[in-house]
Amino acid sequence: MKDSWGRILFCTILLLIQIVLSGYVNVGPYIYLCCLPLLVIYLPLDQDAGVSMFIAFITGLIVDTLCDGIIGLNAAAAVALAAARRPLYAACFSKDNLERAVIPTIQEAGVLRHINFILASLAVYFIVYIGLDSVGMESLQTTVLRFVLSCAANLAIILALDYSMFNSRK
Amino acid sequence: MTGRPALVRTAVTVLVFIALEVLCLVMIANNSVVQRYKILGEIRETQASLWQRTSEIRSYFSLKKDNRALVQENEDLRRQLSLYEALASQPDSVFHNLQGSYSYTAADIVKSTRGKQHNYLLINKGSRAGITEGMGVVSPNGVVGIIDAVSDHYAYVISFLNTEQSISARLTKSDHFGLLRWEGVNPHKATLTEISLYCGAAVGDSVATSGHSSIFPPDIPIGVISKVKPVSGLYLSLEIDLFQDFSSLRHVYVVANDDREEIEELIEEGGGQE
Repeated sequence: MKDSWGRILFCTILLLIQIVLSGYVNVGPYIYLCCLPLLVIYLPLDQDAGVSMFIAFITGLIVDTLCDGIIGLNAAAAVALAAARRPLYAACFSKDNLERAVIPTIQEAGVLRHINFILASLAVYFIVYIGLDSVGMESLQTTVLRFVLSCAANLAIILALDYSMFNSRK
Repeated sequence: MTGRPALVRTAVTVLVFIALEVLCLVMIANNSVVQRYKILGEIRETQASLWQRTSEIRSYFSLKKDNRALVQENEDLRRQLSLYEALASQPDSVFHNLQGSYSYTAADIVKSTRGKQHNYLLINKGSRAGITEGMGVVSPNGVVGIIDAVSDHYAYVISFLNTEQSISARLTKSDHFGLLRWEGVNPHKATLTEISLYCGAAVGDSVATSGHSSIFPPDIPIGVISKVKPVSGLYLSLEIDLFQDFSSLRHVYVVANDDREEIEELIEEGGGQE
């Protein structure tokens, strides 16, 4: 019960941060700041993949609605990330972690492995998001630049949030 | 024992993923004009190429039948050629090109409907092959339809099996002409209306295109009379058994009347004086 309330609080805080980022932080056209991937990454690993995708879809829709974007963009990217989460996790962390169904902290897994996992997750998210957002409108160079800069900026934000919110988990 | 539930779970997960992504794409397409244009464009392109592939596979399995039809068509053409050669060899004969100047472009059908009131076909030749709206589409067995819209590589044809489509046709025996229209019920039958009571039409007489429009050349065989019915004592309504079997149609020819512009300009001028 306590765990559920903790998760709801975590989701609410992330949604609030997302609203602030979308509404008040302007970093230009090449960077899209989004903490929705963090929310999807930290969904319970032992949870059924279908349920995870559904939660990702709903939260994506909420973000799309609250942030005045094209409805469905964040939802499509979040669902793709929720689907790819377990294979990415298995590729980045040890089998022991997968059996425990807990995402290890930076201290537990090591900085490099942790960054690899977050970066791979962000790549999946932004391939779908930027792919659908700039479909047929932007040149390949612009799209790639947008992808690289968005991944880098969001990696920094997620690592900061990750460190501040989950450091006590250890 | 544990294999099956795992397989079912994976299948359900994949289905949930596809369903949610499709739902997202639908929402994106509904909320953004650019994305809708692109997404629908991609879907249509994929559909067209899929139809083309299935059509290719189908036509591969019907090669024998197509060959037979081509042999028959060749025979007919040779017969016609020998007739023209005989006419041309007579020194005092005046040889008129009654059919005007028509050019033909072969095309394959990639999609067609037959079970509706307003049927259509999609052919694999478009504006890049010189196809334009309003051109006629025929096969060796008769009239197929009229081009309604063209893209670069495909053309949309309003099928003759369309209740709103009518063509000018004539009785080959007496040269009386009228309007031939599909009634929307039987794809093998059509009705020729507005034929004079005194034309002497009988069951078994053949019907061909009249050539009175700038779309179809004259004398394309269409079918034979299967029933003669007087209408209000003024005209005859003739039920026609069509030669064309639309269910086995794969290859067609797009007919372009090279004089069409000139004819239409003249008609417009004539209409302006009225």
